[in-house]
Amino acid sequence: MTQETLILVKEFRPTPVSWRPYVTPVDLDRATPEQLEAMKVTPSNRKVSYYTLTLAHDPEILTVRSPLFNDIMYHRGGLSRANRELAATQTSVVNGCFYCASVHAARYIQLSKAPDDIEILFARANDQQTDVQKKAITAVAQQLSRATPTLHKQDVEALAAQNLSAEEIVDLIFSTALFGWANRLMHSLGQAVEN
Amino acid sequence: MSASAVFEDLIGQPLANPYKEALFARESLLEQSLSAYQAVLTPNAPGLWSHDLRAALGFRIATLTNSLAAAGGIRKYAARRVFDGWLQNVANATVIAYSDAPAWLNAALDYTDTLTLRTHTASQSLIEALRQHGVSDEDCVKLAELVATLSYQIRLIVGFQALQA
Repeated sequence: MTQETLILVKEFRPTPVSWRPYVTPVDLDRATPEQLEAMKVTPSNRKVSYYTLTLAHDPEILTVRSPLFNDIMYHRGGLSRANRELAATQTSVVNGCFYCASVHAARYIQLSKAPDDIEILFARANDQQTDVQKKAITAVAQQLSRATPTLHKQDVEALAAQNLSAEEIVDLIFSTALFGWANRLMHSLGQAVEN
Repeated sequence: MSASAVFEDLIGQPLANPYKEALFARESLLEQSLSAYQAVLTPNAPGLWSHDLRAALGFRIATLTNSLAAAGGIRKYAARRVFDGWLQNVANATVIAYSDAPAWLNAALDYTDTLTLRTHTASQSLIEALRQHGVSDEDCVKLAELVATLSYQIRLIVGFQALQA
């Protein structure tokens, strides 16, 4: 890795940021066949992020994690793409992951055209959310993301009362839990930096 | 046995419909989640973190998060469930650090506890402490994956348990 001057990002914002690892990422030219396979590197696709190169130190779980991440966030049906991003952003705020919060807030805004929702999340002012369905979604994402995660039958009933289907509720649990995973990797193995 | 049937067992209580149907329709996500358990609890290349040590750390994480009832997967896929010797201190979340342990293990406990309970406070110093005590970058990533993946699994089960009949 070449020496570069890093300007740290220490705030939640919906604009692009980069990420740099604390550990030395895998050197693509020295990667094992298992690592290359886990990173999905092919002769025509050798553009790999710092994050993936870092996680390639453990190719066994990376092989499982990447497709699972995509399936949870992008599978068809169930919770809308925007609401999955909303849950991901809320979870990232709870876990203090500036990088994940930035990426997923931007995706939420792109999908929903509702930047105010992100301002509310970043200000930790969820009481100001007037859309009751969004309020219920972020409340559940918050609860399930805390150090001691909780979710009760009445919380599920509260989501159903806001017209969320069973499929949507199950997807909300998946996407929130997923960011309990992603945030812990991103926020402990490296840090958000200016582009 | 299908992943849905395994999850039904891990959740430990009957699910209400239509939630049960909605969850079991996501068989592929459940299957991949079970593979993730195995990849972090009993990997082929465990590095510094033996299967026994991973199991003990798994129980530590479940205890710290007050989620032992949601730790069915840790019980099912862990290499061991009863610990003896120094592994007892690792599995016992009330032991923050212990004097007989090698420095790298106490650094690993600090990393595990912080990432589990105070994720937002994680900083470079946690990784540097591991490196200073001889933990390779590869093993730092393996430890991060263990803690992070089990945090996902616990939240999944806590969430699914709320879909009870």
